[in-house]
Amino acid sequence: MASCTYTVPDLGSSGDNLYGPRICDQAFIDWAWDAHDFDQGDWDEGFGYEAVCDMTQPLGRTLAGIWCLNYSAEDYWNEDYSLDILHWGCRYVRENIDELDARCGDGIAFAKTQTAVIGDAWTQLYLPFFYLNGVSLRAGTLVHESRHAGGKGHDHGNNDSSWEYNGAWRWQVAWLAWFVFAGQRTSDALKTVARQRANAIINTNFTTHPGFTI
Amino acid sequence: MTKSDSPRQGDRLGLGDPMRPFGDSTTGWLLSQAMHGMHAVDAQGRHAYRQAVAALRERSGELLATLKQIEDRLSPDSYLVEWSLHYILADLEDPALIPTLVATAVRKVAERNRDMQACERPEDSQVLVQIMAVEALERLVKREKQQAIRALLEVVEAQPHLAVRQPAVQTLLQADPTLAEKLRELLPEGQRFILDLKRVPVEYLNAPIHPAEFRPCPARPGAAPRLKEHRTSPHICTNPWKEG
Repeated sequence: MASCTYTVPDLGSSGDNLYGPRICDQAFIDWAWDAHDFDQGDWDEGFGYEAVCDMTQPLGRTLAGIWCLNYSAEDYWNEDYSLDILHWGCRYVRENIDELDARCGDGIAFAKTQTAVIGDAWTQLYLPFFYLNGVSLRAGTLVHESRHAGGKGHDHGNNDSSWEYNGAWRWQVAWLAWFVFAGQRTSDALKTVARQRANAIINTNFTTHPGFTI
Repeated sequence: MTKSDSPRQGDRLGLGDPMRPFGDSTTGWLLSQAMHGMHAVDAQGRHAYRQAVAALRERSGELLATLKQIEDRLSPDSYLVEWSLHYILADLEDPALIPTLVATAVRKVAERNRDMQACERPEDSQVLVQIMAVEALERLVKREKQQAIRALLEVVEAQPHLAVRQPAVQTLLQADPTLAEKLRELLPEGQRFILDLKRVPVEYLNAPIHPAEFRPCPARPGAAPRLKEHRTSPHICTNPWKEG
């Protein structure tokens, strides 16, 4: 067992003060817990199992990202794959991420996904995911990891070779972009940082630049 | 952030004392109030945010010193707080902030270790602070055009990181298309393509998914529960006199 410590940034800076009251709902917590296969042993010992609504702890902050992922489309109940990714990204995350675990990590990586080809399938979320990402960017990271969980890794180091490769970076950009243009129930600031992150990915995480910005 | 080891079993997290970077000054307090209000979605909360920003504009003289004090109290990876501060600074639209914004935008971005297996990393968060500083400069173009353009050119010249340089170039071209030639000279050959980048409509940004990739999980619940409706009027009219 690894031990780690962290100093929590101001809740106002991440949007957790907006999403905190929303996730603190028993029906949502029970649904999210089952839908993403959380396990107590992966989220206790300071990660939030004992205090789900405490937005200084990782579980509440992860649920905020999940809330943002699932409720940002105007008609959020329509998750048809024929629609844009803002509608079905949450469904793909639920259907492809096998289990969602919290870990300390190495202080560098935000998240990591292992597929069943190697052994157990899991997605681990690390301290930078909880404490360096605002709420909307956490949702984007979950979409990114779900693409890995679905079997699509990066094909050029940690980059995707191109937009046409249709990998995790493209999906993350697409979700963030749709969140910016059509996202509901969120703040202008969370949309601003989502647009900036999408453009930063476009500028740095494709070996061949896609040739546009959002 | 500290860690001892990282095996597969669950880990243990302890939280340190909360950061209190804003100090006791009125300007620091106003910045903290603005930060608490910047994600408000209701009219009252948004009004409170605008009031805090307006009050900060009145204290322009103290702002730079307060920002320096806050910066000294923040830990090196306080990117969320830093980004939020720059978001607020953008809303202030104060030309006196230009040197501060340039200083943020031209900070050296940590070298990316390409051997490390990590998709997203802390330097991605650092870069967002710098992009926010560039966007704050963009807001100043309409108030102090020449000063803001000089500042953005300084950013393009001094900041090689494409994620920061690109929005600076885009802003400059929008502000003054005749700067294209000067920018071409400033940019290394491998980055000149950013002069031709265009914003695309969101409809272009699809994520194709093949039916073979659908993986329904019958054992798991489906879509998220419906949100509770927030009604401000009676659901049904129960007054028989009004129903006629």
